[in-house]
Amino acid sequence: MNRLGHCVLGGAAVAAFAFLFSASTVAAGGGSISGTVKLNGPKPAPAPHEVTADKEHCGGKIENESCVVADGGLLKNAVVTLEGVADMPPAPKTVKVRLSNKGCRFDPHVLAVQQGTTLEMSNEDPVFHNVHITKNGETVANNGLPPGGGQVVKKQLKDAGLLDVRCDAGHTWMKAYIVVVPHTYFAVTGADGKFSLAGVPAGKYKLKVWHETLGTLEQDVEVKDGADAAAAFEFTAKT
Amino acid sequence: MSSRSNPASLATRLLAAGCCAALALASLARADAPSVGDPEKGRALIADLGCAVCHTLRDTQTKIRKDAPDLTFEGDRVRPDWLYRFLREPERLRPAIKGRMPDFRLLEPEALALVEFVREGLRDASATVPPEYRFKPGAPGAAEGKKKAETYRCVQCHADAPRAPKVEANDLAPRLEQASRRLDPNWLFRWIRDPQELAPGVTMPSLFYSDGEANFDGADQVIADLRDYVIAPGETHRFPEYDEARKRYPEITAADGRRLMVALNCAGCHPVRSLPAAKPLAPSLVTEGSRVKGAWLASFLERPHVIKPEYGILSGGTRMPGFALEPGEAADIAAYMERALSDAESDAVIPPAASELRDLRERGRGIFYERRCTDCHRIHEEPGGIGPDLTRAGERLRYGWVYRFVQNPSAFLTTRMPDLNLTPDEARAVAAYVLGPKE
Repeated sequence: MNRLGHCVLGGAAVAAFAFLFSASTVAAGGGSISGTVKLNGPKPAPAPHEVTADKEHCGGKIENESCVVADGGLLKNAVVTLEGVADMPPAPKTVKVRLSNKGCRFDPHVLAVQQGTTLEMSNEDPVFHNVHITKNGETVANNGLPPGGGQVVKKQLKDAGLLDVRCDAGHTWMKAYIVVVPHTYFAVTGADGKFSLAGVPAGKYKLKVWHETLGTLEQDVEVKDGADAAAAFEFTAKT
Repeated sequence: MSSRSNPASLATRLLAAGCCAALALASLARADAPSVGDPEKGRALIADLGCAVCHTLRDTQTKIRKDAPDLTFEGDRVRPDWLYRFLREPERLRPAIKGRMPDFRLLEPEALALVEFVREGLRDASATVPPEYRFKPGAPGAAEGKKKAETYRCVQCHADAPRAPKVEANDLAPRLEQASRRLDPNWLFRWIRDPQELAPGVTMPSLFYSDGEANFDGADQVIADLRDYVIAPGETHRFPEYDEARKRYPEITAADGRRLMVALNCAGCHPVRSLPAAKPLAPSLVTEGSRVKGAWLASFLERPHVIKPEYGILSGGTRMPGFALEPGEAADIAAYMERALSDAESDAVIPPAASELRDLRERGRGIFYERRCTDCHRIHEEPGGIGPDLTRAGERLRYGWVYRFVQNPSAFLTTRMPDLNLTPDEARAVAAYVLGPKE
């Protein structure tokens, strides 16, 4: 557990934002927000997880995805959401997102979805997995997935919030996170640390970023019709 | 108010004969042995057992409502003959996994009443089993189910010694060896189908259904096969006592069971949708450590029904149950109560000097008989009434508390004992008599 300490947030983060005007990139009747999320300080090198069960399939070690940072401090798996925007009706059940058990890890490691989205859970490993989803410690779903890859288990995510995903089948290192958002203005940063939100109604908002080990940061953002508002988040690593 | 007019007094008198035997056992309560338990363990045990459900305590934290099973589906879930036996011998029939179902020393008609209420009052008509998957004894699915149990790693959590290879984690879920005599087969089908639907948040994952839909074609057949394997056709065992009790007590109805469940405060530990919320219907224990002696308390906790047999007859069925405590556990609880549940004012009362005890007791005896305390309290063979037997009160009660209590009973307990307007001087004498040896 202490091995994760390298990625713990220290002190206030530096946040900067600016407005750029680029009429060609966004649809009329709204604007966009784009930018990057970074981690300042030395690049963390989290120790991989020791595999303690089903080693014959899972192997000896598994990548620790709790803080993935590329050169230049670019932070992967940070969830950017717009705050202060009106809730939307939930997505219909037919909107689907896949969460796979693959190589004894959850794929993807971090998901953001609109409220109402159906989560499709699958198991591509030849070992038994279990997707146990909780919110503030209360179970939202707990589904067992036998080996073989044939089954897809569907669960509609009806309530907004941060969901914690674990596998109870002895794979204690398996973790994933799902951020369920009551609207469509959200993004998860890729390996390049970049995000963009499109079609945002003009107005003043808070823009929030959440990361599993670094916590949250917020900044003000103003969106103008037909323009892209640039935003940049910078977490600071504890040394 | 005369005790003679109280219907409860008759029951108490009937019990008086049993008291003699009980008192012989009560000699286990050695008055002066110091409490040797670990108060911190005692505090934790009080939280685990859920004492605060019935008693007023200082630290009322408990997770008993999470540990005790939800009884909403109990009428569908367990076989009535198994339940009847379980209610009468909970610890022997099914040693606790987490929570500890206490033994209420239920009489036959009481256990029957509870079973009848669970069967009729807690039945959930909304959930059904498709007709083709209803249980038929001797169904051929068991062999197929055995293979499926391996695929779904059932034994990873359900240790099942006679049928499964040894597994590491065996404390996660109930052993299945009792399933065939305990569980209703049709309920088991519904349970395996989607445990998260029946009991949201339960440890067991849903393997076959999610959001009311099957995860794959033919899921119901796999569920039925697993069910048949677990139930093991042909191995079902019946407890005949239940049918015998029904014949013996035909007048017992579900309504009797409902009343008893309220009186026993079952809803204090078990979520039961159709019962009113539990109430703290047992004595407050906030100053119990200053009232009774630790050694007596430890003995009482080990066998409450022997030491205070009047419980269960008074107050419409409410009684202190037994928790199958080990002697060490009872001592831990007593040690905690002595330290944490005390009353400084009672503890500060200075007991009479040895030199004045003899005279004081003699005076106290005079007051005791003059005020007709014996109308309610039994001393030796004198019959007494609704009050506790005081023959050996010195093993149980502490001086400071008795001295203060007899001056103003209603300030200390919810009690039927009238205020006798004793002066402090008279109270000293009465307390000395009550706690002393009696000819």
